[in-house]
Amino acid sequence: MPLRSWLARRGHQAFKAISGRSHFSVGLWCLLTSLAVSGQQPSPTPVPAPARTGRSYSADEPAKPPPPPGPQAKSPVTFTDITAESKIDFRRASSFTSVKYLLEAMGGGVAMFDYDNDGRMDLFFTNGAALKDPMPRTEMPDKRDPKFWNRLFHQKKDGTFEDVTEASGLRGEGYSLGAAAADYDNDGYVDLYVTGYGGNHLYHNNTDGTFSDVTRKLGVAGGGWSTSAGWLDHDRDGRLDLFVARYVDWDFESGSVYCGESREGYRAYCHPDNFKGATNILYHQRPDGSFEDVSANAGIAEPGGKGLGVAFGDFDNDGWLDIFVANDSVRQSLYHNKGNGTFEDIAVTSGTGYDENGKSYAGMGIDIGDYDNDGFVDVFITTLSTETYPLYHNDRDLSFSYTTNSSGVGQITLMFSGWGTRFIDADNDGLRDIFVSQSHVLDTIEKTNPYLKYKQSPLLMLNTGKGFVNVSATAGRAFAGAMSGRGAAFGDINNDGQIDIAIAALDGPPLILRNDGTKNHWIGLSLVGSKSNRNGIGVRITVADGAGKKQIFDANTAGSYLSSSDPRIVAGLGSATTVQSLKVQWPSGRVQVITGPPIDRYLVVNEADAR
Amino acid sequence: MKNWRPLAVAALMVLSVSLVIAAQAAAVILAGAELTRVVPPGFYFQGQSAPTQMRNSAAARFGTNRYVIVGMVDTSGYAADVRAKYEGLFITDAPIAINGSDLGIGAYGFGFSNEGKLNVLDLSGNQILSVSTTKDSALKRPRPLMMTKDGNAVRLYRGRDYVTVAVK
Repeated sequence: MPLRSWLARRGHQAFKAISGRSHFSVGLWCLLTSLAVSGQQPSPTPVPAPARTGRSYSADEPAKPPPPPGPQAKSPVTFTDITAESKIDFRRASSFTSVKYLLEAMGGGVAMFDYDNDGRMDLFFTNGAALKDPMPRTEMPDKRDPKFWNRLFHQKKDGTFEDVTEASGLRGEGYSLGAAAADYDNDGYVDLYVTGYGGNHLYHNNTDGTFSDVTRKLGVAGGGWSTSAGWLDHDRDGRLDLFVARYVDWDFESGSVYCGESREGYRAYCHPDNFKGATNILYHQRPDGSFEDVSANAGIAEPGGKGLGVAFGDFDNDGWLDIFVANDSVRQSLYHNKGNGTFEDIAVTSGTGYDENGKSYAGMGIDIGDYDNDGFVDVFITTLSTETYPLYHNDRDLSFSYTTNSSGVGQITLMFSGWGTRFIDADNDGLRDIFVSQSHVLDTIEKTNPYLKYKQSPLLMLNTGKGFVNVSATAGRAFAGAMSGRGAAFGDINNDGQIDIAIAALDGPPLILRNDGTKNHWIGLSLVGSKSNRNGIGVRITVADGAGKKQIFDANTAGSYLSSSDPRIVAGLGSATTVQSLKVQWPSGRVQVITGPPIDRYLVVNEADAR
Repeated sequence: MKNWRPLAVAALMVLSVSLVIAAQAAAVILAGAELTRVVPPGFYFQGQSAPTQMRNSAAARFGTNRYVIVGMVDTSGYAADVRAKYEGLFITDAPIAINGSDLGIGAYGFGFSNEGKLNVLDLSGNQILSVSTTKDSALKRPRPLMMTKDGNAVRLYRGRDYVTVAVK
């Protein structure tokens, strides 16, 4: 057998077991395949070998035909693309360079929130900034050109949106990535935190449609490469605190390492293995409204993580919100809130640190929710192609089972790369489904792998009560189109009780999906805290329908990827026409039980009414 | 009574020797400060040094003062061909057997392969030992690298794949 043929065959055999490969075999495959390819192809134009080379994402991709995708089921609900009719004319600009700075491939985010209290959700999109090619180390991304501004769109009465960026003062600075919305000062108006590379910004809502940058005054600038952020009251003192996930220790010099093949057009974004992890930050809000960095004392200042997504939930039902950080290609982080201002990372002992084979994966987006309605919240994480999206079932004792494959999620997601995500009850049948915004991270992936796609369509996995099935093909035309999806925010844009979705693209227009609904019933809750934080973040809600079936929700706006969602809770009721009770447990310790509330509408729950 | 003395002394000696042998053979998996005390923060292999991933390190003490230490290192600075075979450090200060194959005192590199092998390399990258691994499908909480006790030996796991390491 000619050597080059053997090498090619040998290289393919190295990928026999997609889920069981090691760095050893991946590298071996790369070496052998490179040798084989160099022998098979006509000589490419000579390219000087780069002085330093790093690993690219593509080194982990399979070169053998994937198993057939799982069957599609019929979707009980459809979504309509309303991007054009919404009059949102935003186009995110990543500012691609020939250097392939990893930063270019990671944005952007979207926040769905009602900044002017008119009862309609508004939308905020983060944007990139101008990068030089290459970027001098001493320079920072330039956002002066309007095409790089972050954008705030105000929803008008007719459901269309108007660009109010200039008037609001939210055009931003630097290379923006994530957004986190909440009323941190309990003044009744939602404020906005924007993350990015080189520094973050907290914008205080002035209550008149404008925002003021209070970052320096309040001490929440962060620094480095921040990604997803979220608001929570980790010590239940009534004031919201801020958690900021950070990615890698990176700058335009270290980030210029050459990754991928040396052939022209094959340079690829570097794998995060090339960079050290960055610490997460927990800002605690003092009584005077300023913030202090309590990361070290709280036990979350771990340099080993490479955080991209963050979500909050009370895993052990002890009344304290826990924090889960989705890390890229290293161990995941589950910070259990010990109730005394400190956290303990229990990812390894809980079984959520790795996949079922003890391997790390590229955690990107994340959400926490009770998908099987057993009264304990579970975890879903999005990853890169060939890794499958991890689904962890909460076994009620701070340990988790890896249910990716037994639930059907593994077969559905093997070839996909996911970013923004959320457990949403898309058809309001009382079971949380899963939505994922998708795209491979490498824009060169189709050159190096015949089975993977760069742009991918969104994914909707329907919860049947026995597992998940892919219903994307019949969930609306938007699910047939491919895009470079990144962050996604979820909420009720048109206040009809059906969860809508706003997806941010890496480079291009967003996708706004209206949920066209079903005949199922629902109940919505809008929380107003008084002793607890105004937004009711951290409230545990238990909905018992007419038949006594219970669902739990932990109210917060975090989760997904780089994004912030509608703070209201919508519980699907299926065919149930009544709700027995709503139990509302506030972070202050107050508990309200509302019996026989009206359904198919939103209910405002005031903590002040609690006894 | 005098006749019992030699017997008692002999019995005590046998017991003492047995205890010493038992103490020498018993393996203790190190954790916390004991682990960080023995795992080197960095490791030289094939032309350069790289930091150890402390969270992906493991060590065992055999008897009172014999150690086997393994740790994954940050291989991002290595060329692709080195990364293909080298995952981390393997140090032993006692002669050991890995799945029955002998390995002398020394510091080595190692890599688990997808073909079910643990390969041990000298510091210039030459393979000096290759043993087959066993898959533990029942393992509850697999991790990238860890050790567990297995009688007087230890199991060295990479995910669900393991080899058995015993001091000779």
